[in-house]
This record gives sequence, structure tokens and C-alpha cells, in this order.
Amino acid sequence: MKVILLFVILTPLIGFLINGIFGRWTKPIAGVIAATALGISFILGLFPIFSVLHGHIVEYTYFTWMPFKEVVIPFGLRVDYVSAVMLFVVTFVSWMIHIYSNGYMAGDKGYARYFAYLNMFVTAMLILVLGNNYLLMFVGWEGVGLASYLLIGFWYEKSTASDAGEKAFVVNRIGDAGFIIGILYLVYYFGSVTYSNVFPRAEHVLGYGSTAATIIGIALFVGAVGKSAQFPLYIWLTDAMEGPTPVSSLIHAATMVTAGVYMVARSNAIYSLSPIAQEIVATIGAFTAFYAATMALTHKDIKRILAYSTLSQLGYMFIGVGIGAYWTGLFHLMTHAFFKGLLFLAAGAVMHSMRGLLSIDLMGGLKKYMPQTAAVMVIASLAISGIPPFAGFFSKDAILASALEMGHPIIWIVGEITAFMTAFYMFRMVFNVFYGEEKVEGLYHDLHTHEAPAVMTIPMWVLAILSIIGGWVGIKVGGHIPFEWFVIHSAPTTEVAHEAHYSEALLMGISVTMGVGGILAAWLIYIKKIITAEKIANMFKPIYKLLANTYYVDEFVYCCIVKPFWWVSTNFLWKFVDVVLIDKGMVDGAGWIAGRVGKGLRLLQTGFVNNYAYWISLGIILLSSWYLFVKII
Amino acid sequence: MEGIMFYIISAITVGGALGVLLSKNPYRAAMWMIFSFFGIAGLFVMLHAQFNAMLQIIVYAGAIAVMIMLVMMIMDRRTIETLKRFNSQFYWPALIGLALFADLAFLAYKFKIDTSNAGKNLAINGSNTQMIGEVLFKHYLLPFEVTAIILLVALIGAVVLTKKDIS
Amino acid sequence: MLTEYLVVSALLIAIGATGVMIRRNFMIVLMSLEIMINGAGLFLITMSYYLGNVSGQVMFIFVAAVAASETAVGLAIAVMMYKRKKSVDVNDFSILRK
Repeated sequence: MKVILLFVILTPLIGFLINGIFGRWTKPIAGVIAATALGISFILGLFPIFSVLHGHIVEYTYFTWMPFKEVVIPFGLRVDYVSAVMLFVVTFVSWMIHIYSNGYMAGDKGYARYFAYLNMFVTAMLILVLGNNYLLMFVGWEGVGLASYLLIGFWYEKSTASDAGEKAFVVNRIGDAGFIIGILYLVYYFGSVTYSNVFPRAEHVLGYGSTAATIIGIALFVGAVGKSAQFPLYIWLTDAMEGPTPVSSLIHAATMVTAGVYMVARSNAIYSLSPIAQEIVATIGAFTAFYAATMALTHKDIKRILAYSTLSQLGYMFIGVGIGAYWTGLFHLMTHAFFKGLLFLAAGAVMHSMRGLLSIDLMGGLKKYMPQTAAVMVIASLAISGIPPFAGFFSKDAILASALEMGHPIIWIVGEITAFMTAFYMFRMVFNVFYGEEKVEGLYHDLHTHEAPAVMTIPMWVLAILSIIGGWVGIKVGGHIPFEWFVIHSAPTTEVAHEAHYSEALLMGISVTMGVGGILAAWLIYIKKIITAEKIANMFKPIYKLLANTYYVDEFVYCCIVKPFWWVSTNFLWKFVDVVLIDKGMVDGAGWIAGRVGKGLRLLQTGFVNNYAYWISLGIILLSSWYLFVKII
Repeated sequence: MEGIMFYIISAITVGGALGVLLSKNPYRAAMWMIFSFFGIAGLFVMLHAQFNAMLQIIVYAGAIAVMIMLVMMIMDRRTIETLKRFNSQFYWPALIGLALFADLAFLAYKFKIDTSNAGKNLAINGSNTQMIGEVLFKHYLLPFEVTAIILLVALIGAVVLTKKDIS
Repeated sequence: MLTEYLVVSALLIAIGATGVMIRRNFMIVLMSLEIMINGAGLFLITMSYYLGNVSGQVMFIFVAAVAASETAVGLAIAVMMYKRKKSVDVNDFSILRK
């Protein structure tokens, strides 16, 4: 088992090395190599998962990574009830997307490079998930950040793509600083970063409701905010859509952006000690869920709609882990990986056959040309809208029900409204793209629009099936929800004093009503055309403009952060500090002094190597004589 | 007995070193150098450093000496053999060398440490190699990795320097 | 015995340094450098023995690795110098002055 677990990580690494080093020669089969590596990794990963299912947590230490005097940091891997879920999601969804990429990226000149990066990403993600201590998680955390940067800027000839990559990298740095601070605090308080060492002692060392627990919780959450693109550090995620679509699917929807949720669920022992930190996590999650959903309402670019939708769903996950019901967050993480991955893949298939066109204004009636893609898109949209029996219903309902039960009625209300908006904007997109008439005459004919090849549709169907049945582990069986029962071993739900009880049927009814209502509204507006979208836009013109311009946040950041930064950089740092102080004062001054001294010392510069050796030897003699006469005699 | 051995081996070592210093012919100097290296390997064995003694023979007397010899093979024999032995002014440097020795020897004479542990902790189950392995890979893993990088850099540097197209 | 070992080490270092300072042949300068490094190595091993701590021996391994890289680069320089001027006399190479 020890070797198997190591090879779960090593196989994608080997794939990365093969495609990274021998890319020039493996180009025709790069995709096959990468997908095979992931397939092997997934199958090997099943062994530890089964072991966990049988109740044995798998943890091995391979070697001592960093021995410091008191703090010893091992390189070890751990599969417990939380990471088993992530391990399954990451390896499986990655595998599917690798297969899909074979079709999507065919013919690209960076084919081998693409798969090398993709494998590197999975390696880093698995280190993040499986590492048995925070520092190892941080290594993976940075690794996925790097892979994300490389893949966003994959088409680096496009300046928007490389700028988006840089933006993602820079914004993530802010979060990473918080994460590092959190780790340093952990080292300070616990003298260790290993999970099995920190969590059992957390209550004893930190104490319930202590400031230390709050600080650690918030610092770690800042990291999660950066990586999982929560308010206010979400600005990089929408630009990240410049990368290839499978990348958006794998990294910016299914796996990497959920790392923050995973981290909070992982650190449940610390968050359960700090109600304040939990409140912050849940509030920011709820706010982001609502805020991002409003922005998704007006966008016309398929991928941007999906990106805002991802932000919104990540917000739901943070509600789940923030209120202390960690299993609900992880549950939504899992189902979201299935249906949002699928949505992006379907969007990619549309893009693929539309030669990169993305605007929903140009499409319509695509169902006739791409029946399979349309079918999976509808399945995924039903799943995200929370219609039973699709996966999203169970997980979203679990989050909202626990929010209400654990005493957060406002979050519940926000969540239900967001659920309505989610259903609306998803079906706005589906109806506009796949139903109705062609909006541009003869466009499909000119573009030779056609169904995606089998190598792309099969992974989509696999994910579609999971989007349907993936939520069934959340159905109550004999008084227990299987998924809750599973995760709770490693991430026990925080206990609250006054647990409110509501009729489950009523809550489910409300959730379903919201979902159906959203779909109905979209149907009325975009298919029946009872009232046209333009009319509504005109009625609420200021709000529409605000939403269409994404609340002017990018402009705000540019005006209030980037510009002052530039101003200070140009006028103070450059013109004064650099030119006057450093150039004139220090550099020229130093140069002047050095010139004077050099004139004297130039006589020593003979150019003969032997002469240099004299001076070195004389120096040794001086030093040893000083030691001899001053220290010893 | 040990004392006699020590003096014999030291004589070999120092003699070899002096041979390098004084011989005019560089091929002979290289032979003297190998001679000296074997002497040092002998001293290592006397100091219970069997692993390093073997390393000394393999790396220095083997690899490095062969490398130097090989490079001299590709050069014209007469150019390097007919070179004058010393620099035009060698009295002062020689004096500096002597002073260096005097200084260091005096330091050695004054040097006092606690030698109660002499010869202990150098082997596990009589194996010096195992002990070195334990310490090297447990406590000095990072320096070890860095050394690997240094070797790689040296390799690349050597290749770049000797590339053909430098005019 | 400690002093004797240290004196041998000092002798090697001094002889090596003298060799670097007075010899003309670049190849012999390199050999002298090796001897100096070995003098330092002998010191490490001696201290390792007398302190009863194996770390000194581990250090020697690093010294050996660094010496090997140093020789590789040094020889590369020698070869290049020879290519340029058909000479290995260190006094022919004084462009560092400029």
C-alpha cells in the first residue's frame, strides 16, 4: 500500500517528465501518455480509497523532509475520510478531462507542452490533497498555482492570455501570504505542521473561542480566498478563462479552485474552535455566491457565465464549511466537480465546433447540429439548478438545510435567492445556445458546425451520468446520510447549542421551487418571449449596466489600486528614490569613491594569476596570525 | 607501530606533494600527485575513515588524475614540457609559503581539543560506510542535493567553455 | 598524534599554496590546488576522528564533489587557453588586468 500510494502521485509526475522532456518526439502520442498516466493513477488511487471505506486510514511517512531542531517536517501521504473524497474527485475528473483534451487540443502546436502542464497540475494537486502536513499542502498549493499560471497563459502569443496568467499569479500571491502566516502560527503554537499532530491537540493548545484559533483560521482562510477566488480576490478567475477550455474545466472549476474548501474542511479542528472565523467564512461565502450570481445574469460570453457561476457555487461550498457542516461543503465540492466540469466541457465542445466563438448572441438552435452536447448541457444545467434527482439538488439542499438548522437564516435566504438566479442564468444560456432559431443566418453552414468527436463526447457522457447519480450518496438511508456518515469521521460537524428543526420536505420543496422558478422564468423570457430581455434591461437600466460591467470592480481596482501604485512607483520610487537618491547619491557616489580608491589599488592588478595567489595567501597568514596572537596567546 | 606507520605514510604524502611542487615535467608531477593521494588515503585508513579512503582513491587518484592526464595528452608535448619551472620572481612567494606553513604549524601545535571521544561514533556495526550513509541522508540531505546541482553546473560550464566555435 | 596529523595537513596546504604561487605551468597549478584541497580534507577527517563525530567525514564527501567540479571547470579553462594561444603558461594570460 505504501508504494501504491506513492505511485498515485508518481505516475502523473512520470507523464509530466516524459512529455516535458521528450515532448518533441512524443508529440503524436502525448495525449495518450498523459491520459494513461492519469488512468493508472486513478486505478491505484482506488486501493487507499477502499481501505478507507473499510475504516482504515492510510498514512505513511516516506522520509524526513526538513529536520529542524524542534520542528521535524516529514514527507508523508495520508488518505483519510476527507482526502479520500478529494482523491477520487481529482483523479477521476482529471482522467476524463485528459481524455477529452485529446480531441479538443488536436492539432495545436503546443500539444505535448499542454499535456505536460496538465500532468504537472495533477501531480501538484495530488500533493496538495494527499500530503500529511500543511507545508506539503503548501507545496501543492504553489504547484497548482504555477500550473494554473502556465495553462492560463498557454496561448502566450495572445497578450490577453499572458496578462490573465500574470493577474492570476499576482492575486494568488496575496492569498498565499495569508496561508504562510497561518502555517507559521501553527508552527509557533504546535511546533508541528503534521495533521495527525496538530488536530488532536488543537482544543487543548488553542482553547475554544481563543484569539489564536481565530487568527489561524482567518489567515488560512485568506489563502483559501485567493485560491478559491472568493470576494474580494475573485477578479482573476474570470480572466483565467483565456486558457484552453479543458483547463478552465479541470483547474478553474473542478479541482484547483476547490482547494480552499478542502483546506478549510481539512482544518475543521481549528475552525470548530473559532465561531468568529467560521462566521467570516460563511458570510464571505454567502456574499460571493449572491454577488457572482448577479454578475452571471447579464454576461453574454458562455465561458464567463460559467466562470461567475463557479464563483457562486464556490460560495455555496464556503457556506457549507463555514457553518461547520463540513460534509456538506465537501459534498457540493464533489457534485460541483462533476457538473461544472461537464458544463465547461460542453462549452468547449460548442467552442470547438464554432471555431472559438463564445457569444450567446450568435448562437441558437444548436441542438439540431450538436444533439449530444445539448443533452449533456441540459443534464448539467438541471444538476446545477438543483432539480431532483440530479446531483446538485442533494448537495445544495444539504448546505442550505444545515445553514438553517445551525442558525443562519439570513444565509439560507441569500442561498435560496441565489439558487433561483442560478437556475435562471444557466437556462438563459441553454435556451439561447441550443434552442430557438439561428440568430445569424448561415453561420453554422459557414463554420461547418458539427457534433464533437467521440473522444470528447464519451468523457462528457461519463460526467453526465455522474452528474445524475453522483448526488445519490446524499439520500437518507435508515436515518443516515451515507456521505455525511463517511466524511464525519475526519471532519465532524461543529456542534451548536440550539439546533433548529424544520420539516425536511418543506425545505426541499422551497429549494425545488426556486430551481423550477428560475428555469420557468428563463423559458418565458427566452423561448416564449413574453417579455424580451432587452425590455427588462431597459427597465432596470442602471442595475443592468452595473451588472454588465461587473460592478466596475476591474475599473475600481485599476483606479484605486493599480493607478496609485503606478503613481507612487513613478513619481516617488522612480523619480526621487531611484534617480536622485540611488542613481545620483549612492551609485554615482559609490562609483566616485570606488574610482578614487581604484586608482590607488590599480597598481595591485597585474593580471598575473600568481600575483593574485600571493595576496590570498597573505590574507590567510594575516587571519591565522590574528587568531594565533589574539585568541590563543 | 602505529607511529612508525604514520611517519612512513606521511613521508609518502608530503614527498608526493613536494614532487608536484618541484618536478619540471608535468607528466611526472601528475604521477607524484597520485603518489601523494595514495598517501592521504593511507592516513584516512589510520583515522578510521575507510569509506573516504576508498573515495579518495577512486575520485582523486582515479578520476581527477586521469582527467588531468587526459587533458595533457591532447596538448602538444613540447609546449608544456619545455616551460620554465618557476616564475621569474619566486623567492618572495616561496617565503610566503614558508610563512604560511609556519603559521599553520604553530596553530596546530597550540591547538587543544577534548579528545576523549577519539575514534568513537565512526561506525555502525563496524561499518563506516553505513554510518556515513545514515548521517549524510538524514542530516545533510539538502547540502547533498545542492552538491548535485553544483556538479551539474560544473558539467554544463565545462561543456560551454570547451565548445568548438569559440574563436 | 593530533598535532602530527595537523602538521601534515598544514604542510600539504602550504606546499599546495606555494605551488599555485610559483609554478608557471597551468596544469601543475591545478595539481597544486588539488593538494591544497586534500590538505583541508585531511584536517576534516582528523577532526572527525578526534572529536568522534562522523560529520567531518561527510563534509569530506562534499569537498570531494566540489573539488571534482573545480577540476572539470579548471581543465575546461586550460583547454580553451591552450586553443587560443597554444600555451599553458599562466604568465601568457594576463587579460584580467584590462
